Amino acid sequence: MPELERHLTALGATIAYPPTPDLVAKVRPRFAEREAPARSHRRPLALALAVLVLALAVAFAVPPARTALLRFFHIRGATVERVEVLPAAEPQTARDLGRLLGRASAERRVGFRLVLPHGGHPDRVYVLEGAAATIPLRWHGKELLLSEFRNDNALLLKKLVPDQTYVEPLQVGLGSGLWIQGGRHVLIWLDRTGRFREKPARVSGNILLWTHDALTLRLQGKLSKREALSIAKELR
Amino acid sequence: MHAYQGIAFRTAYLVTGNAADAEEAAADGFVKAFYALSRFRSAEPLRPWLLRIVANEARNRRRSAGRRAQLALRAAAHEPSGGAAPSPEAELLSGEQRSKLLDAVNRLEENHRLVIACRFFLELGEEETAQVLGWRRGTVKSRLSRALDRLRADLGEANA
Repeated sequence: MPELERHLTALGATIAYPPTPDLVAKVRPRFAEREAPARSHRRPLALALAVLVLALAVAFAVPPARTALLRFFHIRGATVERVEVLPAAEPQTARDLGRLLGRASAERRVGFRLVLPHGGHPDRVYVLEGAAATIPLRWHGKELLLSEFRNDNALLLKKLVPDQTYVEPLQVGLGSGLWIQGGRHVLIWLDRTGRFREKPARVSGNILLWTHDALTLRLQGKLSKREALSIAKELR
Repeated sequence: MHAYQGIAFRTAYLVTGNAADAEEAAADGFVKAFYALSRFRSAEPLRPWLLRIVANEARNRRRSAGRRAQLALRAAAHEPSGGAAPSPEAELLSGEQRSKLLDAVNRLEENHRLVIACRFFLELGEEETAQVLGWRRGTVKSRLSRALDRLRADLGEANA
């Protein structure tokens, strides 16, 4: 990047924005007014807000799965939607993870250095469309999958979870994260530029999704939240 | 909505140049987006669509206030709050350079300042910038190129 552009990016990092106001609280009364002008003005405000959240979630809907969407969560590179009915999907297999390569080849294909647990030397890495790398890990006898992808190349991991699944936004190191626990989920890899869109795959197990510098990471396995966060902390 | 309120507010702030107007514009944008959802194509990403509505609200608000567009940005006088280390990018610029560059950005005409703000301050991609500003992608490229030329000329003259 030429010097002036680098300096502008640097300047952007030091702009003193005013603190972001609570826009949810601000718009809530307006929805209450517009939703029920002729009815009781004591209509529950929470209902109006729920309608807003529902409507925004519809924007992310997978067209064939016109189910009632209840809520969505988003971090850079990943969106999680809660739906009433899961779309049709086959259980995830190794084929859904992409092509099996050695570590060096995988890193060349995805164009970034893999983030790994301290001392980790994986001998096999799955690479999906040159965009996402998935590394099988063993941790205290548990089989885990760690997926990594650059979150600035318009790659979006879309995940749908049924209502019984617990989703919790959290902070992982300096990044934003989501902890997804219980139930079965449907996972779709896609690229906003339309280069690829993988068919939905059904997965189970708890999942930690989080941003790590320019990457979004996804750790899947039979882990507690505490265990997943502990592994996330070890990654370098 | 929680996921987008930060970027929506910052977008509005970069257009209006003041926090109160930015808050109103972002809130109006969210409300309008909600009632316009039927026109949104679900295959498209939500963020640029939402930011475009917010940016339009911010521009309308600024025009109706009758003020000349002025970002009135201030570079952070100190390191980021919370005691966090400055980013490697931030370390590239000394305080004096930062202030000169910011002044030069503030002197740009509105469209040039907006394209610089979207690309470098909000770190939006070219396509997303085009959607947010309601311009063609080619227009984003040409205005960005002209804005950078103006900045180079301005900073060159300032240093002369």
